[in-house]
Amino acid sequence: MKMAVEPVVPGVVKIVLDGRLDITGASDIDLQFNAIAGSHRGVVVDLASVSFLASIGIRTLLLGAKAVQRRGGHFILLNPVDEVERVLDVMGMTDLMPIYRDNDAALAAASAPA
Amino acid sequence: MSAGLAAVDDSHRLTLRNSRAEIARLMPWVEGLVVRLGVPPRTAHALQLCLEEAVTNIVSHAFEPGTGHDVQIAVWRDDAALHAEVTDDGSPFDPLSHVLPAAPRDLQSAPIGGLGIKLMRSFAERIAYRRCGETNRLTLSFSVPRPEPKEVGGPQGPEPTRYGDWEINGRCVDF
Repeated sequence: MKMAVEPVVPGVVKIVLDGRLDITGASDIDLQFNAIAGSHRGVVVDLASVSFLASIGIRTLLLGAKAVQRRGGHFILLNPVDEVERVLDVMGMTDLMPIYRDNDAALAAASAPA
Repeated sequence: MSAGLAAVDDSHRLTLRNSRAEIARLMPWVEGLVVRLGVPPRTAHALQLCLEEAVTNIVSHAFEPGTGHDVQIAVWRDDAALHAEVTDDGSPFDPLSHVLPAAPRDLQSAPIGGLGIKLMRSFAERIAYRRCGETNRLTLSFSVPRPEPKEVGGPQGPEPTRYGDWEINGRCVDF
């Protein structure tokens, strides 16, 4: 699992994930992902290159979203593939983390004031 | 079903040791197998998801720390469905007895545990659990949609009723 971090504006980042967010993938990124979610007020997670999402990966996203929201920020998912979106939907996550299809709209929403 | 399992050849069986590193062997094996079995993508995804969750659960929770055990996985297919069986000799655990958390209302109250069992129960069509002596047997089944029969040779082709030409209401449309 690869993870790239792109700064957007101060306090806001885009995290681009690439690979399978299963038990191996989640353990690859957990530390860094948590550190970033814990220190930003806006986070966009680009899921376009994530081909598989298991419960352990949902846990990673959920912990990140909780941390960002606790500080009044925005945690946004961008472009999940069908299988990943179905998993998010079945687990009730789409009600908790907004999903965007458009990169600019996602960055704008994450950068909005709390 | 036991007849189906008995007929499963060795390439449809995998044995993993109970370590996290071993779980990494599971998905490449399943991916190769669903291709060989001609499983459509949506069913293949459901199988991968449920096996990942079942095996992760067993490796993480079924055994005394520091003890070595095997987890066995078998996958087979019949006309209508794809089946997987996971067996282990860990402590008894019936995922069907687990009470699922209600759908979370907001982020802060959303539980971070119990997600795997909910995924399994959502993506498998049927789940059966049996404790046989010292062994847990978890069977997961997934329906496989039948492919639409293909037209053969168009209207000039062979006798229509035998080659997928029936339309709804029993009217044959190949004239």
